[in-house]
Amino acid sequence: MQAEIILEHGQAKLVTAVYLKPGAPSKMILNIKDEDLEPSRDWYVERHTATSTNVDSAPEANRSPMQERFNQILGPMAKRRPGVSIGDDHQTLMEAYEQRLDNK
Amino acid sequence: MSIPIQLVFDTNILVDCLLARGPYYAYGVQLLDKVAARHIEGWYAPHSITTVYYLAERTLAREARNRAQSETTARELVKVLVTTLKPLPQIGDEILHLSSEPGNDYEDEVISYLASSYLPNALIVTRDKWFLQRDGIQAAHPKEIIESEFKPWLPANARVEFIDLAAQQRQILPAIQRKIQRVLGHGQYIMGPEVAEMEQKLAAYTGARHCISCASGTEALLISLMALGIGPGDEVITSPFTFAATAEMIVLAGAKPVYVDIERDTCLMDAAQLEAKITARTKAIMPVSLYGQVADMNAINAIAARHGNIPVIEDAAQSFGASYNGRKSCNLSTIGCTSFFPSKPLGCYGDGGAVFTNDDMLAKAMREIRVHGQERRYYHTRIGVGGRMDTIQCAIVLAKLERFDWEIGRRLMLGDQYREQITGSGARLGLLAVRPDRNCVWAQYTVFVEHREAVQKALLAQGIPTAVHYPLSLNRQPVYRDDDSAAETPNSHWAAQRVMSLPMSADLTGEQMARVVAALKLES
Repeated sequence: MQAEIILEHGQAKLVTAVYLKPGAPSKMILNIKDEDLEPSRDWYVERHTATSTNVDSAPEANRSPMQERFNQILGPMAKRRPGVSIGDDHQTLMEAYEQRLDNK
Repeated sequence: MSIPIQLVFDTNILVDCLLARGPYYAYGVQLLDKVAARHIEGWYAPHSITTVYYLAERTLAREARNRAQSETTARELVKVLVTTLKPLPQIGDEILHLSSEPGNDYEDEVISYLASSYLPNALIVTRDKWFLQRDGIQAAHPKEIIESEFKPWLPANARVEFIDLAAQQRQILPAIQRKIQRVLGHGQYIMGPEVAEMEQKLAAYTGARHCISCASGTEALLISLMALGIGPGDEVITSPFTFAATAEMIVLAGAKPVYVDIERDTCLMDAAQLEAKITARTKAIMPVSLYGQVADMNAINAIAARHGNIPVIEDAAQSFGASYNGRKSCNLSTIGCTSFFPSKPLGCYGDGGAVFTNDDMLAKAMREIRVHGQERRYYHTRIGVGGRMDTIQCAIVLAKLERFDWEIGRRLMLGDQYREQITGSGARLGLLAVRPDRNCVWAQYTVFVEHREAVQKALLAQGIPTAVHYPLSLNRQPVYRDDDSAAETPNSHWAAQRVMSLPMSADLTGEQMARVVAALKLES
């Protein structure tokens, strides 16, 4: 079958839900013409996405009272995380709104 | 605040800071540290907070063992942001003012609109190219801001405000909005609950038993004179070197102002010359706490006591918050009168004032006079005035009171810094003396200068406004002219020809003061 998707805010979304059998490959390749591409909306995005090596260690709070406060609130969740694009954030936000509606 | 830039944090940077996302989150956190340390102003658009909360909560939910934990943690993180940064005033109808260009992100447009509408030198902290490539709005990545030490966005030789009420308002805007909204909510615009709340707080601040708010500082003087029963045939001793309201209210009450000259170095009533002016007709003494410093009230009170307990009314329009021998201005004599004119150390956003006393009978009289001499509703036992202070103005004073101790501390420090820097610069100016038994809250930072007009003109050309408080002593004013008195008050005349007030407010920055002093050195 063909599945229709929409690209928006840097993310792909299926127009209608498609459910796969267990074990069916869930990774698909989407081919997009180079001339249709816009540069990323994020500043320094190339460096943002290339930092996965530094993650998972707690952010150092040396000389930063604010970081110390964040670390204290986060407790065991105080760790460095990979860079996230604005499109990723949009996707996460949509997920949060959907979850909110589901809860109502 | 020492950096004249208002940082407006975009949503993505706030989430990066909270969750330590990406390689540059620490630059954003450094900016938040600078805001928390009051080195620079930090703002957010209220609608960003919902997004920040959901992004933080969802990210943590993916990592946390239970949902409740991620929600609680996200809420606590957001609380840190909203107590560190200030919310831009967002009404909700901003869409009416936005362009309808296709492709513009609504949320970003609102941030841009709010920042440019309310902040004089906004810099949006973002990693979103929509902001970074947009004309007419300053935006930069936190890394760029930190590494450049703010230099590209510092305004070049901007005008120094004489009294920077806008900078103060930006610091207290949420409190101001909350207090005003409360008044709009209950609708008691006259004698609403904020009036009593302000009076209680100000009485506690000064230590006086009673505080009675009134329509202005001028009204405060009139009400106190009326409460003391001062009228035709009476004399009230005061300083000729003050704003006209002091003598004006004495004359309006039907009495005659009798002037005692000032000390040349403080511009305050010279207590040593007071006794010679007392006659059988003297019904009050009204020293003026000019520029934020109280006159020698112990000496004045002692003289008043020796002559049959003449009431002493402190005209404390410029000195609310000042101290004298460990006691507060407005609680140093029979009655203290202050003003909440916007430029005063504690000001509202219109006219307002208050009288203070420890005398229960006088307090009762002044409360009645304030409301047309009513003892109870529509029962008038004395002549009064319509002299109430609006509830909204009281609400504004209450909002400003939350920051007042900090402001007084700043004023004292800035006064010391002005003195040190002017003295060190070699500028040819005379400085006001502050007596060791009191402080000066510097309603204006006033100096003595020769060739005043030329100096003022030269400073103004460099973006530095000045003012003269006051150019003519009252006994030389056409309406109050008294040649004999003028001849007996040479210090007042001398000061009137030389005083010049420099920019002063709690939010004056070190850089602004340095500019003022450098200009003074060049021009004086």
